Amino acid sequence: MNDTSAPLRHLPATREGDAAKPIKSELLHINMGPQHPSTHGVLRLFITTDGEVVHNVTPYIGYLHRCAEKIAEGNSYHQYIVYTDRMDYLAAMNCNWGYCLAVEELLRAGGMEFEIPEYAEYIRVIIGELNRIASHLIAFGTYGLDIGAMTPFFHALREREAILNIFEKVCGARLMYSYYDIGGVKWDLPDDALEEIKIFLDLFPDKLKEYDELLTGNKIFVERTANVGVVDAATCQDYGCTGPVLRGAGVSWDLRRNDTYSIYDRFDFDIPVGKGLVGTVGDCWDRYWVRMQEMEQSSRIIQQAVERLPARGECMAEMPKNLKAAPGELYTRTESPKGELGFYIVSDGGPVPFRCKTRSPAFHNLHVIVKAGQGQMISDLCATIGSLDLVLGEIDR
Amino acid sequence: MTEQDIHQRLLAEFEEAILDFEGGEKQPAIAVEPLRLRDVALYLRDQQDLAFDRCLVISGVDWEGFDESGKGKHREINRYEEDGTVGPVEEAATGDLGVVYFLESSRHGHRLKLSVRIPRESPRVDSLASVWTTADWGERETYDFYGIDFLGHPDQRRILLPEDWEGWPLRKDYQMPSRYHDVPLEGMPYAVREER
Repeated sequence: MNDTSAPLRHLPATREGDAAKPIKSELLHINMGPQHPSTHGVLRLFITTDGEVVHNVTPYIGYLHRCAEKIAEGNSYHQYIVYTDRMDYLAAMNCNWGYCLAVEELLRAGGMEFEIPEYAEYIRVIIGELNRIASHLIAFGTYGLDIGAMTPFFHALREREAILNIFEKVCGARLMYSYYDIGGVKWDLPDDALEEIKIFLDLFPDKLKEYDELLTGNKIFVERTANVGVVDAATCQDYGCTGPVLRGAGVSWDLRRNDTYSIYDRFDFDIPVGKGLVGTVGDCWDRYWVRMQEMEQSSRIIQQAVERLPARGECMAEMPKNLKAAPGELYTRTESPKGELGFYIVSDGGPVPFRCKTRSPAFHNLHVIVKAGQGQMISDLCATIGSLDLVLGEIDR
Repeated sequence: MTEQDIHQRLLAEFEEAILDFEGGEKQPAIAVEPLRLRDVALYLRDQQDLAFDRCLVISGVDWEGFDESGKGKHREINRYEEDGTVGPVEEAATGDLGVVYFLESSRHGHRLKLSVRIPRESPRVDSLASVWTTADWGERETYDFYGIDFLGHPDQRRILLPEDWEGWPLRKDYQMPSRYHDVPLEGMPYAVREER
């Protein structure tokens, strides 16, 4: 805790010829959060500082804990879908998808035979990628807020609003969708949803340019984020970071490509990785930039999916109402906007899961702040937290 | 390297410490003797052709009442009374606790499920936090929910539950406390049901 050997690079030397001996002041213990605006929810960081320099960061989480894993053991497979919405509430569709896919794979491993209609798979991809854009828009907007730029937030929410309007048409909800179901999606797309998606896709590239003009190349923004909070690839692997944090460190790892699921192998898209364009590979700017590029790639996927969408048909496989998976266990993972979202489900043949563990990407992405936060200025710590794109609902479950 | 090769390598190196192997393209699994877990983990990480450098997730499992034939005891434990509360646990639990580690090699792309089973009376197992840093928080979470003691863990505290919470909620014989700091919890099992 009182490790005074942490880098004190921001402190000036006391006097000439005494460069090896920086000023030391008394260590201060500060609570940041759980109501701090830049922690994106109820995250409390206990920091030890020497003046403005952070020596140690200890995250305290669990303020939003609902013990969803215990709830899972008391509810049927279908009933638990609504709880997955409440994990990552900014990308609820992707959470639904991850869980439904995990149950489907478990049923298949247990010998049950069914096929998800191709039409439903296309809808899943379109809606899932739209939600990825919506989630990254929030990440982009709030990151601007963290750094002190107010305007991008309003621009980001304007486009997110368009996506939420589409979702509202599709399933009636704007935040907690429960649209994905085990075996497909709950409802067909309404008649005008495709039109709206096409309009959105036409407008979106211009908006992305607008964001770039607003924030990406902004000198103040670059000064605040380049070379700040550098997390290298080895650290990412060690701490279990996934998603844009891992890709920002220059590792081309995307489960849609590396461990493909659904019908992602049919689409043509790139996996953007951090290149250190304005600073070091794996700094805050790189993570931000990867998200911006991913929005572009997501809209490419949606474009292709909309073009190739098969004729209207069934959007649910024939599934028994009372699902019972054969005894067994399986870990299934998907690429959510935050990273690798996995569900480890153990079934003993009953109508409820015996064990349902969620691998939350943001949980492991947050862990890396313990290392990345050391030796930073407090204001840089805020920038680093923002760049990790944390959602506490998912961390605490 | 196929999962059979990995199994053969481990068998040659650790012999009787490798208890069980299950093939399968999706999820090759190896069960390990708990006392040798750390050695196996280090071997898996450090050998060049194995190179399991990522630990994806750590999960505890309470095997109490698990029955391969599909007639588990847990549904009785989890049943609701008519007023919405959870019924009391009548039988003492006897099953083992387990810890499951999902590993992956970013270099070779192969995956492995490593699992240990430990007795309920003395739930202790070596910590892998020094092997993969992911395990630090993963083991804290497992400790939090199952009360499994990870020997040599640098900072074993509750992580998601409050520090002064009593009991291990994900154990199958867990009894919901009736009050927490003067807040009545009765009638609020893990799914809140309004009385009408």
